[in-house]
Amino acid sequence: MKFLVKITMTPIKNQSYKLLLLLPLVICETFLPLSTIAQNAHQARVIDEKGIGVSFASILIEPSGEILLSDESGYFTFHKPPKGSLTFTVSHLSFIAFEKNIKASSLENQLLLIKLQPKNIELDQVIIRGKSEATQLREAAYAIEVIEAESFKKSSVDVNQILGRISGVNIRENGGLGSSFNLSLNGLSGNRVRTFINGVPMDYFGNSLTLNNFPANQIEAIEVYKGAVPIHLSSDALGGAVNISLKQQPITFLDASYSVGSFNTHKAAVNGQWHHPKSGLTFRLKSFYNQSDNDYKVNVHLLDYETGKLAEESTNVRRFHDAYQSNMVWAEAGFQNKSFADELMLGFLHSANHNEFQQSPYATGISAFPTGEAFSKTQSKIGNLSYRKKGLLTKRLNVAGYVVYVSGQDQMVDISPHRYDWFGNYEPNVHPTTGEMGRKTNFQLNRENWLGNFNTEYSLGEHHGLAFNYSLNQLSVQGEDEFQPQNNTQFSEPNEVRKDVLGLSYSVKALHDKWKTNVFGKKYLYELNAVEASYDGSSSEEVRIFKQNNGLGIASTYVFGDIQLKASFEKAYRFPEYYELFGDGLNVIPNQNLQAEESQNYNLGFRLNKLGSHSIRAELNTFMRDTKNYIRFEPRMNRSRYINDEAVLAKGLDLTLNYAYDNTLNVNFSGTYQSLKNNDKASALYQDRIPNEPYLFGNLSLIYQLPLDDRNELSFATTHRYVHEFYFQWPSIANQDSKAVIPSQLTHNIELTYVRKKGRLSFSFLIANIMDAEVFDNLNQPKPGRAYSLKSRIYLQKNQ
Amino acid sequence: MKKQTTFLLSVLSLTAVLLWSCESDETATPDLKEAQFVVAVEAATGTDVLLTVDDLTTGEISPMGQGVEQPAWMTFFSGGDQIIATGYTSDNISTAYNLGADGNLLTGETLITDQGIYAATSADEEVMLAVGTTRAGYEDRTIYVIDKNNMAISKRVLTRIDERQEEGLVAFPTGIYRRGNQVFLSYYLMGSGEEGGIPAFATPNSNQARIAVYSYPDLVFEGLITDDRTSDIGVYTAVTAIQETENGDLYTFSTSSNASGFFPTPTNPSGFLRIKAGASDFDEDYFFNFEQASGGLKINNAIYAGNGKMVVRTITDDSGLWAAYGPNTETPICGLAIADLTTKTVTVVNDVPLHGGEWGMAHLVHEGKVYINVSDSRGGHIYQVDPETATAEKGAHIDGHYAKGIFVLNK
Repeated sequence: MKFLVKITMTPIKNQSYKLLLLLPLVICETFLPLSTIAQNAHQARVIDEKGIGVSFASILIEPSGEILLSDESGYFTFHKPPKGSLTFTVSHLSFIAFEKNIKASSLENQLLLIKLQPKNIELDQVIIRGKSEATQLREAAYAIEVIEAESFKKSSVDVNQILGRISGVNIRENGGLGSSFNLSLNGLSGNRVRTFINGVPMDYFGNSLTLNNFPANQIEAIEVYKGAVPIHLSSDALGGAVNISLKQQPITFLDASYSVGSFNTHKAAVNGQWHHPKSGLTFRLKSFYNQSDNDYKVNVHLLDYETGKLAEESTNVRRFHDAYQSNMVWAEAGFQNKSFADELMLGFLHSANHNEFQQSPYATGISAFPTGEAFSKTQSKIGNLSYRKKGLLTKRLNVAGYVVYVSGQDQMVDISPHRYDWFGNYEPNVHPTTGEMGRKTNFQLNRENWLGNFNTEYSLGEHHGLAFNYSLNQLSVQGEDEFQPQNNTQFSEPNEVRKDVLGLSYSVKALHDKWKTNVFGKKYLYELNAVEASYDGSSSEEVRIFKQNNGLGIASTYVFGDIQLKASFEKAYRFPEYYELFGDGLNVIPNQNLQAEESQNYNLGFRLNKLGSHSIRAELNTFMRDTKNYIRFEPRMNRSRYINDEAVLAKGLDLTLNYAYDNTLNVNFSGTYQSLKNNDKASALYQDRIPNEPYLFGNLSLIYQLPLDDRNELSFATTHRYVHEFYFQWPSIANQDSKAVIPSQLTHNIELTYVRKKGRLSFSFLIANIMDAEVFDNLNQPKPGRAYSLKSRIYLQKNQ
Repeated sequence: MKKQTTFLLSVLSLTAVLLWSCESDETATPDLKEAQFVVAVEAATGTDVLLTVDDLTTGEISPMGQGVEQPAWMTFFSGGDQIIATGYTSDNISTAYNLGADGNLLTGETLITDQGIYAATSADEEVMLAVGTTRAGYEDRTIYVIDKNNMAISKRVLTRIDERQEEGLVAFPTGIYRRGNQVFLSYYLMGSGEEGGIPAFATPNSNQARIAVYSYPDLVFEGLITDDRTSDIGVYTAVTAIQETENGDLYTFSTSSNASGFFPTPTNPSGFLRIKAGASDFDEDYFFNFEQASGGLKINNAIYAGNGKMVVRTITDDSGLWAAYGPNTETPICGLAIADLTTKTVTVVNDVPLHGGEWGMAHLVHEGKVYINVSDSRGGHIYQVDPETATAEKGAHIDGHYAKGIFVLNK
């Protein structure tokens, strides 16, 4: 569960700026503690005048400056100094601010109760950013893990690296900055796991904006749903979802960062907002620029062109054609925090990227003939209109919606007739009719995409809620290729995919809120109008598919004491994405006959949360996914494609163990074992493990925070990551000794972060893969060795 | 049909397939104790596995838990005491496999070529010739002269073979064979695939059989020989387009077959031509009109079994373009027949059911029998064919899609 509560109160003393730190407020499951100094943990509870716990009240404790949030039942834990007095300032939008001075010595080993008095809310002044009661209800039952990005903002990691620390999540990157990657969650990967930005599917950004180039700066929190996905993320996700919440507080701020690293890597991000409280007028800008040469060194057995033989000894050469560059500017204007809308924004986004190929991305291992000129680029122009209002007409009704229009251009170019060697030298015009990776290609694709989502929630009193969601995704692609007739015919007419998903959910909580359940149903409509062209492009055939399916699910949770149990079931569908159907025009060939995946997902989770000066959190999630028509990528050089596997059964478990001592030391372990097996009884490979998919992996992170004084802090972190070896092809085929293996990999990162002035200014230094281990991607192509990066960040906010 | 065609074409182009004019190896019958059968199987997953097999006539040939996993979709061909697997992994790669003293397969030398190889032959004890080509466009083809001992290229000969830019046509190799001091290279004329021109793999001018002749060992182009009685020689990825008989005559087959990938379909009949021993042109006095002799069947591929007999995979229904390329097809159109090159008669082998064609034709000529793969959507078996009696027996079952190669190696 995650909630975003913006605490804005009448400025109390001079502390308003300390509250800045609190902005991305997420209390559950944070990896890193907020920075405070304390000796002993003490528990307290915020209650209302009836003695019922007040959730999400913010608590400021002086003089330590500790800032906390009460949990769903009103509890919070603070650090008690041995002597002196403490001032508690407690605020909540529904209650009158509370301030009380308490002597530390008077706090015995009993629960400290803080009673708040209700107030009449003037919405104009009290800014609500918290999710409404209905929303909390709706989400509470899902198996969700929330990452607070605040702690990572100072560091130089990107979103992928943050996600990679979650149990059950495995991120497989193919190289340096900008290279393709694959996120898998509980063994389901690719598009089974959807990624959203503020609830909007990330797909529409095109290739310019992805998790591995998205800077952590702009992120408030990341929610990771394992298993059943709430209907407001109403795409046809099959195994879970990742939702990135960006900053949306009605404030004025500027957040800028710049990092420089190995391989001429530069990443800059500027993120700002101007908000006029009285008029509600808001201007927002998000922008970044990333670039890297990715010229890391690799060991290559050089080819003697004359004899066709590879050298027995390998040579360490520098990659010379793998640069990546991406940028984005997203400007929005509108109103925040008005009676007619919590937020109404109109925006325009422009993003672009340019990616060089060093070799075929789907070759196994290192190519003897590197590519020196082939590249791809993408440009997207996007318009978006979004609206959110909690308590529209009646306090019980919340509505939210968006419409997005995307106009994108993709280009894949492989036309060079030159033959390169690994030193970057070339022999000119030796293959005039082919490109460097296969058929000569200059493929230009125009994408036109409409996305929309409309969501309403209606609260039926304190214990029941209803929600309805409708989402639309209509994509049309058309393109041309002056060299490749198959592409040219394939895309000469628009190819269209339309998906409509309707969702309805009902939420209930009972037994003093200890038991929460959510039941939902979904209707999927899918329509494809496409062209299938022959290899020579001389003939083509229309492909028309219309399908509808019904999905349903239930998610439930029960809390007793420190222990929480969660269970969910969902029957879900996923329809093939356009690049799975149509290929990329270069290395991935179309397969318009791909069937929709159908999956029954079961999740059972258990969580223990023991707070104290030695706080311990343990979490165990088990899952099972019974999938039909499993869509799997088959890498075969420039004839790679997506295929359906008849049936796949995935079972697995994730374990997270977290120990924190006094908020100075935090040790986190996440481990996953997953078994994805062929479940087609008629197949010779029945019960065989799905190939080219890691099944045992984990990571360990250690963070030590050293407060230098009141305002400055130094932290030291290490991350250790292990992925066990796995087979490239089906395990039971052929003699085990002869099989291609992606070897086990162990990498270590260390990071040093210095934060000045309570987070306004921070510097971090990261050494990735410090042991310079040889690491490989899933096709045994080499990934970067040791790399350094230095990041600085400044954050300024106007007090209001 | 178009869907199927597209699928076939997709599969076709998965790899650079190697063509191999196989030397008939009935000259020396291997001592059974020292000989070992080796079969290349495409497993049910599409993965290729090369494995040793004790018996081709009974039991099951399974790649499960045994054999050498191949890195990609490969083509396998015999090179005397070694098997060459060639395919497209990170590059166009060819790897030699030998039999170790313990009877296990040993992975030997590897070679990387810049062009995909579509035809090859063992020219003599020391030398292998391989023809590389691009799949479209006006560009040099390469004849690689390869030293068999270390699988290293000793020489490249660049040739356009028979390029006709005014017609929009290029030559695509189907076979290469060395006899005496000459090298014969068969090919078919196909569209260059240029924008607005003839599409790649289209065959508007194929009512003629053609061979390019080069000197050996210098590989100097001597000229083209042609014959107007039938059509282009061989098929896409054929392995036996040019074969030599015991007396030194060369025989070639022409399919004139839409199902074998020729479109427009040539109007001249499918049949065999001969280049007599010592001659360097087609024998004007010899044409075996297979189509007529068989009552309407066309040749898809043919294996010379010795004693003047060809084991022919026939096309029984020529209506579907590329329809013969599908070892696991649901609508098999290939049959089997014995063609007597001397009497010019055709005998259908009724013991072999209709089955799917392959890329080339997996075969082994061993002790007077010919072992072939017979497969369709239900799977495949090895069949033992007796060319003298035109009978066949169903042999070992293939656990997987089909057998892509059948060989015998000596320890």
